[in-house]
Amino acid sequence: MSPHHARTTRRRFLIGAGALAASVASPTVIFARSGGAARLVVVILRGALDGLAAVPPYADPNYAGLHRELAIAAPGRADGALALDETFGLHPSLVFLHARYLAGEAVVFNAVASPYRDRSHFDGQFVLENGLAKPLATADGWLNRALAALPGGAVHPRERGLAIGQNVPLILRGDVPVFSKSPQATPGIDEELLARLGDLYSKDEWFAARLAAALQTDRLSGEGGSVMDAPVMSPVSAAPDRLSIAARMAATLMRSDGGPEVAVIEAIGWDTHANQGGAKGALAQRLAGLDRALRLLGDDLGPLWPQTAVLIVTEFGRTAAMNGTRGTDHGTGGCAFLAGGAVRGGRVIADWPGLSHTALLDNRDLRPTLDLRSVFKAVLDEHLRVDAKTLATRIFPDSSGAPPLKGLIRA
Amino acid sequence: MKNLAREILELHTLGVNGGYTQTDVTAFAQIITGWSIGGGKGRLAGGIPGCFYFRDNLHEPGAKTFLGKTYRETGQRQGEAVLTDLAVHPATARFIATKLVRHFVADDPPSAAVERVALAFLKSGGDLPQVYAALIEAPEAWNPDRRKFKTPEDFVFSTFRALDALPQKPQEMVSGFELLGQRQYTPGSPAGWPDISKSWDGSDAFLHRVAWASRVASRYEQGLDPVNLAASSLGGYARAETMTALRRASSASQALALFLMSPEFQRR
Repeated sequence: MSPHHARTTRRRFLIGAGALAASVASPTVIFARSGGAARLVVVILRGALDGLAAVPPYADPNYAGLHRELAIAAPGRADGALALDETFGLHPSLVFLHARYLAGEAVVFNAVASPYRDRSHFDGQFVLENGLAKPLATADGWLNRALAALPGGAVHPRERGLAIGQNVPLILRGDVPVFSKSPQATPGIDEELLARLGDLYSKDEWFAARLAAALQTDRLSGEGGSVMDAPVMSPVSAAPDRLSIAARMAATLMRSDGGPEVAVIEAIGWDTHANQGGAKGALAQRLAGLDRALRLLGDDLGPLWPQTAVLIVTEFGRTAAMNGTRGTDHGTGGCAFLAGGAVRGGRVIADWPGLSHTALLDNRDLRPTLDLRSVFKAVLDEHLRVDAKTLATRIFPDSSGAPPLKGLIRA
Repeated sequence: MKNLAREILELHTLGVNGGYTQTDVTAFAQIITGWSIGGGKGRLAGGIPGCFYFRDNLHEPGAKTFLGKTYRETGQRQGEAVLTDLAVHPATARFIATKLVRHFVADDPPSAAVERVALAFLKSGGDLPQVYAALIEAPEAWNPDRRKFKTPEDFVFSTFRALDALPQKPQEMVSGFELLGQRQYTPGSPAGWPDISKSWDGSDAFLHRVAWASRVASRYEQGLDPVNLAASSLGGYARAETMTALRRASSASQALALFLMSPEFQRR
């Protein structure tokens, strides 16, 4: 054990580690000031991403022993992590994200968690998405409440929120109309049938609203249709790369005239109980897919990138120790990412508690030291300009213990 | 094993708020160690391929405490004893009752109906026919203001039943499930398919529903009288405006599509 390792066991803030990168006056900064309305893309990784693999704390003296063959080696070693700072790296699959970090356009969070402290995926996702302390599935989502708080709010003339998928996930459900669009091509429907359905639903508000939203989606997708024909970068597996298609579709719709300002993309497959792999293997392929989707999103957003923030979150982390089936089980503290031209990045934000016996939560999980709502609030405050009072009362009630972080978004 | 133990407790018996702790999950996982599938190789040899097989050498020996009760070492039976107790646990009764009422009555299950069904579960020791009878007897189940939006599966099945037709090719039905987002046997989560309308009413899903109804209508309209079909299928639920719309439709195929997409037919 080198002296360097011993040093990293102390609790310390790592904010500002990449301040130099962020302060360089790049064209991005100029665009951000003149670029119009902010765009926000939220990527939900369902199934609980292993934060200790995605953001390996390679310098923590207990990391390699706990994570064993799933651990990612230090930067510079064979199959090593992509260096972030003296403690943390990125999984070697996250090449594009790492480039954004070096360009000052990505913040990496570690030891974060929602207020949820049990280990059910479903309840964990409900809390992540409803912005409350309790897993109420029937509540509405914090991102929809945020849309309601924007100028124009619920009576805004067009739909400002988009879910990529056939249906709208909890985070975006609520009073403000939003729409969903799946990467599956919509078959042509004859106009007359649609008009007659409109009449048929005239006395049934619920169905009338569904039809109106469907027609809105159909109108927007005139341009989105080309997404289906666009070649997708060489997928790792033979299976169609849904996440990349979803990312490109989100970008295309956001760039269309009157397109949405906020989009949600979901990615499944992070529940790595068995054969998780390390620098290579199952999780490495998933992460490569995520990285590829992120790059395509950036490419396709093009001129919108400078005013875009992409928030990547998961319901909780995974156990610090490898389990008996070469995977990891449901844990607590995990990682999150914020990337985009609007982000004041190049930093790791982690009040690292360490992975020693006594530091672990319940002697098994990474102890969270930052509430994800502090990140959500900062993004809504600095990026979408939601006022502080609404944030504290309506969007994240009972979150006084989670004040918004400052300076995540470029001024 | 720990994941399976958690899923049994969370998704199939007590429910997530059923009063168990992480320690219970761990204990239960130890209890069912050795539960396996036959037909492996080497160390995992033995048993019939694809069938349940208990591997004594993989079972964690000893008595274990689960939900405050100690289960003595009985090998495979230790896990069976736990499942037997879980099956009649009050939290299980409530969890199953809630799921049934949500599925058959309303997304937001009325608590009176849940209580009634849970009570039948407890009284009968989990005898499902008696539980279903209680559900059928619940007045909430007969509320004419039906509030469940059909899942894609409900919609596809009920369409073919209403048409009194068998799909000409299995693919017709399968593609319906896929197009509408409910490809059979692939719920994507061990909890099964979501059972509330919000999970199925996205604008894109709705558009696909219209498209599918339109396609099926054009394929099956021959020899059908859509107005009579709707009247007999919807019975007392048919609204006057729906029947008028069907009569005024510009073609039999369009009338059939309107019937399939009518609010009455889309709810159950």
